[in-house]
Amino acid sequence: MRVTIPQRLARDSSLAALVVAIVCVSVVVHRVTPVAMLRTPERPFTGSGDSRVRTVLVSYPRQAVGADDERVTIGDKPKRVVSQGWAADEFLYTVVPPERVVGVSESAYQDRISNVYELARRYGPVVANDPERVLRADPDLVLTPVDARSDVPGLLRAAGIPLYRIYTTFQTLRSIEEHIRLVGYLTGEDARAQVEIVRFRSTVARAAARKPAGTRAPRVLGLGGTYSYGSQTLMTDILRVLGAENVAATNGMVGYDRVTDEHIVRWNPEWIVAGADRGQVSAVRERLLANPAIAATEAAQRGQIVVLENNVFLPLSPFTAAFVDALSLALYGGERA
Amino acid sequence: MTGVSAPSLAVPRTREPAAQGRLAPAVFYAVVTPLLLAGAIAGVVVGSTQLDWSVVVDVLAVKTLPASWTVGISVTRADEAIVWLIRFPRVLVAACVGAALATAGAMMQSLFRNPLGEPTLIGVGPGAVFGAVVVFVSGWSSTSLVALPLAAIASAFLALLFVYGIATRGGTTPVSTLLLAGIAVGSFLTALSSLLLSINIVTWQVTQEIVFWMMGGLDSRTWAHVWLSAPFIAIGLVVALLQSRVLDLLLLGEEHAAAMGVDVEASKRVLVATSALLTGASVAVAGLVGFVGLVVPHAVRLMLGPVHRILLPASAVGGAAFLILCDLAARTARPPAEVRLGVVTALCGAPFFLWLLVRQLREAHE
Amino acid sequence: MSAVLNGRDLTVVRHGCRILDEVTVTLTPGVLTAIIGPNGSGKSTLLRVLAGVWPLTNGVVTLDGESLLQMPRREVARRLSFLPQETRCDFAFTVEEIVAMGRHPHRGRFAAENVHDREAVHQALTTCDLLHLRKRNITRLSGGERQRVALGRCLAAQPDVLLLDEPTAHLDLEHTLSLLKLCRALAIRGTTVVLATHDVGNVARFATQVVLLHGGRVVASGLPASVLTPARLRTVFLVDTQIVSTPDGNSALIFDVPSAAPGALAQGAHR
Repeated sequence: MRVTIPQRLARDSSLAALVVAIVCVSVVVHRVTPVAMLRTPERPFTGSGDSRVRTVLVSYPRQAVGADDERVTIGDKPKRVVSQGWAADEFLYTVVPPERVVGVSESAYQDRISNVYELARRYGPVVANDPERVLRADPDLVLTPVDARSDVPGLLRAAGIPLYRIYTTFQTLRSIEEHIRLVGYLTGEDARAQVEIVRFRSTVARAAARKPAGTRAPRVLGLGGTYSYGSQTLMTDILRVLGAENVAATNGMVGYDRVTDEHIVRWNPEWIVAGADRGQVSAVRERLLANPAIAATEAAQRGQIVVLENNVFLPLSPFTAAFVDALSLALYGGERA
Repeated sequence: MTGVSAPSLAVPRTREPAAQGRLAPAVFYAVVTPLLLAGAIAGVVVGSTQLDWSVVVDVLAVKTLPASWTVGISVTRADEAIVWLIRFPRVLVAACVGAALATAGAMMQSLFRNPLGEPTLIGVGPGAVFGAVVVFVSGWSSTSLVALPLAAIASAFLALLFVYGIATRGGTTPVSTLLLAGIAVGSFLTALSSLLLSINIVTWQVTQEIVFWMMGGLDSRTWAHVWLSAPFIAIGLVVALLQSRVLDLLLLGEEHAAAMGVDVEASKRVLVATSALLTGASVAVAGLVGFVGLVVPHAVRLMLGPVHRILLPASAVGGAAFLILCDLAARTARPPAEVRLGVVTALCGAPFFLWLLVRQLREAHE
Repeated sequence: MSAVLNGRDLTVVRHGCRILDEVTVTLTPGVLTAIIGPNGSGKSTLLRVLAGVWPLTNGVVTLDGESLLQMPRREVARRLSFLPQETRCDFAFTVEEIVAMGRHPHRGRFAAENVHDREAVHQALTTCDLLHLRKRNITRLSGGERQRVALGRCLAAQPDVLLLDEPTAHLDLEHTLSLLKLCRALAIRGTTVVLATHDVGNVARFATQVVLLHGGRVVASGLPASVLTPARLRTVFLVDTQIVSTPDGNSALIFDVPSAAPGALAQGAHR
C-alpha cells in the first residue's frame, strides 16, 4: 500500500515536531546572539593593524584598529599593561617603563629563550594566559598576538578591557619599526618609542655597514630545526639588508617551511645560521655537523656554521636588532655595535 | 494455578514498599540534589584565583536581581567578570552537558537493549566531533553561532543511524556487534577528522586548539557556549522524557512493542534523533567527554530501576552533578594547570565499564 | 467482548519463498485454536500476520469484519494481544511493572494510571498467579514464571483476541499444563485464544479447534479428532501415531518414529 506524504507525516509527527523545534531554537539563538560572542579561530587574522599612526602627541581618547579589524579605544594613558605573547612582551618592555607591565606571557619567565627574563623576575608581572589572573591584575590595555586563541581575548573584551590584537609575524624590519611606533601610541609612550626606533635603525645600519664594499653576497641558509625561512619572511629581509643572499628564498621556498637534507646538499650554502637554547650552543653545532647532509656543505667545511642563542636568534620584536648585529658580526667580522 | 478469577476488586492506591533492591526516588534526590548544588557552588567559588563565597553571592545578586534591591552592594570589575563571565557559565555548561550525556546514554542503552550503549563508545561522539571539525575547518562556524551545534547534531545523527543499521539484526543488538560497529565507525570518523586537520587547511595554532578541544574540556566556556548548548539540550531532555513509556516498551522487544500498538520504526527515529541532538549539542561545547553516558545511567538504574519515567530525570540530575564534580577535580588537581575533563571521566568510568563488561560476559556464559 | 478474527487468502512471500500460501482461517470466540505443523510450516508467520505485526503479500485479515490495516494500531492493540516467542528482557523491571505495560494501548499519550488500569493489572496478576511475585525483579524469576509474567502482560490489556506463539516452548511439564489449562479457561470465558505450538500431544487434549499447516498451506482444520489422524500425522510429521482413549473421554496420542521394516507399521497401528 503506497504511503502518502500526509500519512508519513502523521506517523512521524513526533520527529517532525522535534525538527521544527530545533529549527525554531536555531533561528532564535542565531538572532539573539552575535557571532562575535564566539569568534572561533577559523583563520589567522591577516591584517597588520593600523600602523599609519601619527607620532605627534595626540590627545586622548586614542583609537587604533587591530589586526583583527576591531577598533580599540583607549580612554587614557594606560597605567597597567598586559601582554599575552612573547613578541608583545619584548615590545612592551622596550617601550614602557617596566613597573607598568603587570602581565606577560609564560615565555618571559623562561630564561632559555627570554630577552626580558631579568625584568620579569624583578617586577613580577602575572602570567597572562589565565583570564582570571589577567582580570585580577586590572589592566588598562592588553596586547594579544595575532595568532593567539580568540576565546580568552573575547572574554576580556566582554569584561570591558581594551584589547588590541597585534600583528607579530613580521616580514620586514620596516614593519617592526612601525610597530614600535604603534606600541608607543597605544601605551602613550610615543617619545620613548621614537628613541627606540632611532636606536633600532642605527644598530641595523651599523650592522649593514660591516660588509666590505664590492664583495659579493654570501649565500646563507637559516635553520630552525627541520624548517627554514624562505621568501616573505623576516630572515630574507634581514639578509637583504646585510647584503647577503637567502639561499632558501632564491631556490623558491616561500614562507616558513620544511627543508629536507636533500635540499641542503643541493643548495650548498656558504653559511648556516641556527639557534640553540642557552648553554647548548656547542651541542647544537655538533649535532648539526653530525648530519652528513650538513657536513657536506661548504658552510661546514669552511667552519661557517653560526649558532646563536635563541633569545638572539628568535625574536620578532625590537630585539631583532641584536640578531641583525650578531649575524653581521659572524658574516663579516669587526667590532660589536 | 487458579483458573477463572472473580470479577474485579476495587484496588485502593496504597503506599506499597518499593521493589526489592530499589531506592525510593525521594531518597535519591535528597542525596544527589544537595550534591549538585554544593558542586555548583564550589565550582563558582573555586578557581585559579582566590574568591570568597560572599563575593560570589554579591555578584550573583547584582546580576540577577533588579537594581533597586542591590543598591548597597558593590563589586569590583574583576570579581564581577570572574564570577559572571568565567566561572558561572562554566558550571552551567558542565551541568547541561552532564545532563545531556547521561540522558543520551540512558536512551541509547534502551534503544540497543544493551547496558553498554554510550555516546563515545558507539561512534556517535566521534560523529559529532567530525561535524564540528568540518565546520571549524571550512570557516562556516563564522557565519552563525548555531552552525557548530547544528553540524555536530547532524553528523551525530548520521553516525548513530549508521551504527544502528550495521549492528542491529532482528530487533536486537548483541554486545559484540554493537561495540565492534561503534569502534569501526568511531575510528573511521576520527581518522577523517584527523585527515582534515592534517592537510593544512588551517594554521597549526588552530589545529592545536581543535585537538585540545577534541580531548574534552570546559576551560574558557563563556555565555556563548551556554547559548550554543542549553536550548538544544533542553529540547532533547523534554522529548526524551515524553518518550519514557515507549522506551520501556521497546525494552521488552520490538515485536512486543509493536504488538502493543507502538509504531516501532517511527519511535526509533525519534529516539535516534533525540540522542543525536543531546550528544551533538554536548560535543559542540565540551568536546568528547566519555563515560558519563555509561556510568551515570547505569548507576541510577541500579539504584532506582529501569522505568524511564524515573530513570531519565534522575540520570539528568545525576549526570549534571557528576560532571560538575569531575570538572572541579580537573581544575583543582594540579593548579593552575588543568587536567583534561575527558581524562577525569575516563579515570572514573573505564574501570566501571570493565566491571560491567565482565559481569555481562559472565552472565552470558552461565 | 468477543471478536471473530478472520484471515482470508493470506499469502506471505519473502526472498522468493512462499512462506504462507493462501491460508484461510476463522478464529471464533470461546474456542481455543491450536495452529500446529512441523518446523518451517509457517506457524509463527501466520500468527504474526494475524496479529498485524508482519506485512502480507496478499490477502486480508479482519477483526469482526473490519480489516486490520484500516484500523489504527492502538485500536488493534486494545482488542488483540500477541505474545511473541522471544521474551527475553535483561532489565530489572518488576513483575507488576511489566504487567502494567500491557495497559499501554488503553492509556492516553501522557495520561497517568487510572483506576481501570490498576484493576486490570490486579486481575491479570491474579489470573496468572503472580500476586505474591508482584514486586520481584523479573531477572530473578524462573523461565516458567517469566512466561506467566508475559502472559499477564497480554491479559492486562483485556483483549478480545489472544495470540500466543509457542508459549510452552521453554516450560517444564507442570507449567506447560497449567498454562494450557489457563488458556482453555480464558477461551471458555469468551476470549478468542489462538496458540501456535509444536506440542501436538497436548494440543490433542486441550484445543477445541486445530489448524494443521504444512509448507505454508492449511492441510486440515477442525476438531482435534478429525484433524489429527494417523495418516495425516504420518504425512506431515513423519511419525507413527497410536490414538488412545482416556477415561475422561478425550483422546491421547502416542508417537513413534517409523522403523525401516514395512511390517512395523502394521504392528504399530491400533485403530
